[in-house]
Amino acid sequence: MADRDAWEHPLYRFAHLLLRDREAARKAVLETLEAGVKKRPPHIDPERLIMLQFRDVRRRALKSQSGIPAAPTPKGELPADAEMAARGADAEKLESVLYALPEPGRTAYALLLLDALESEWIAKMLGLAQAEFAEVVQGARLAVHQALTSRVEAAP
Amino acid sequence: MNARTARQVLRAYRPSGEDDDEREVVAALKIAAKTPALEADFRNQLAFDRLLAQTLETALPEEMAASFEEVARRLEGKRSRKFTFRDPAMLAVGLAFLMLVGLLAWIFLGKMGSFAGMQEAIELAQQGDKAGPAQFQPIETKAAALTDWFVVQDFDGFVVPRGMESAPVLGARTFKYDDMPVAVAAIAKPKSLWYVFEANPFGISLSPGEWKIVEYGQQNKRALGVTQVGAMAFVIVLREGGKADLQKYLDSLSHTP
Repeated sequence: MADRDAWEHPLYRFAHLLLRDREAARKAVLETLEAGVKKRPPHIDPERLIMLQFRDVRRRALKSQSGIPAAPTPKGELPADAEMAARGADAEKLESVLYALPEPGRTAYALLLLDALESEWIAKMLGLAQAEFAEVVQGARLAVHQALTSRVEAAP
Repeated sequence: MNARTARQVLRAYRPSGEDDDEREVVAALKIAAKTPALEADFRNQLAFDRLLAQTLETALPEEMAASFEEVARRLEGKRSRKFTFRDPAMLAVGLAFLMLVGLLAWIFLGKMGSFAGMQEAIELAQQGDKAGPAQFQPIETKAAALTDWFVVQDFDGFVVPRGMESAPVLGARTFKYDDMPVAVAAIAKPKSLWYVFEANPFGISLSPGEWKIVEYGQQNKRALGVTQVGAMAFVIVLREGGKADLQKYLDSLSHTP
């Protein structure tokens, strides 16, 4: 059983980050995989096949969410003590911060952290050039840091 | 690679270190090693990302993992004979075929004084022009924000050329042309329709930043411009004005795609 990379695990974690609901995430992943089995092209690069599963899960998640999330994207570099904010974040807090990020930064940064796909495939999935992808990831990273910092400061 | 490109590459670095053998990452890390500020920013980013990645690591319940694995294996196992373009025989046949196609295209296009996809782009736009306002879903946003809206409509890859991202959108829709999905955005300024679709099936192959402009229609002449952004073709059709107005608008854009 250890002979394969269980990419479906990050697929579920990704679905859960986008939906914040275990049952909805489980359903989205199973439906995606089943649909993939039915419509899988006969000759397809395995990495592309996996990327398509992530794309499909994302599509299902976005369909269940209303509106087009939009927010100003921060620019620049992380402050030197950024690590402290990351240390103070538990999974619940981090998931809620990631969930609240605007797209496509949310997807880009989440997939990078989940180590689910190569960045080139994530960029392809989002229709972004590599340079744009790097900017989107950095914007999301800074937004996460800002959110974690404000939560840490607000905590008693 | 310069320091700016290296910073860009490292911003998209996976904290797992899986990218360490990638040629671009190797080059970027070398630049960072010689640039203290970049090195410091990268180390800081890496520490931040690694902690967050660890925080997100959770084991799936065994039963759930098993149910996923069963379907994932079925999906993977459906492979037929593995076909690879790296196979030397396939490579030779492919190259010969491409040369033949290239030669024929060069001969024919030279005679036509045009490019292969223009007629397709015109016909697609003529079909799209027939849509009334009621067929568009009203959306007030900027053009760049439509990408996810189209994803929800099962259209992937909506892109706009650089400099056109902030154009105000009035509505959007999708339709099929020759069984291929097409995304359409109605733009307020310049008053126009923007069409996005896969370039390859329509024989559109343009260099980055290259635009082809024509006028079509007998009575109501319309100016149409085509360019390519990545794998997608982008067509703009002005609702008011001619070729000169379109050229003026394109010249006014600060960046090229």
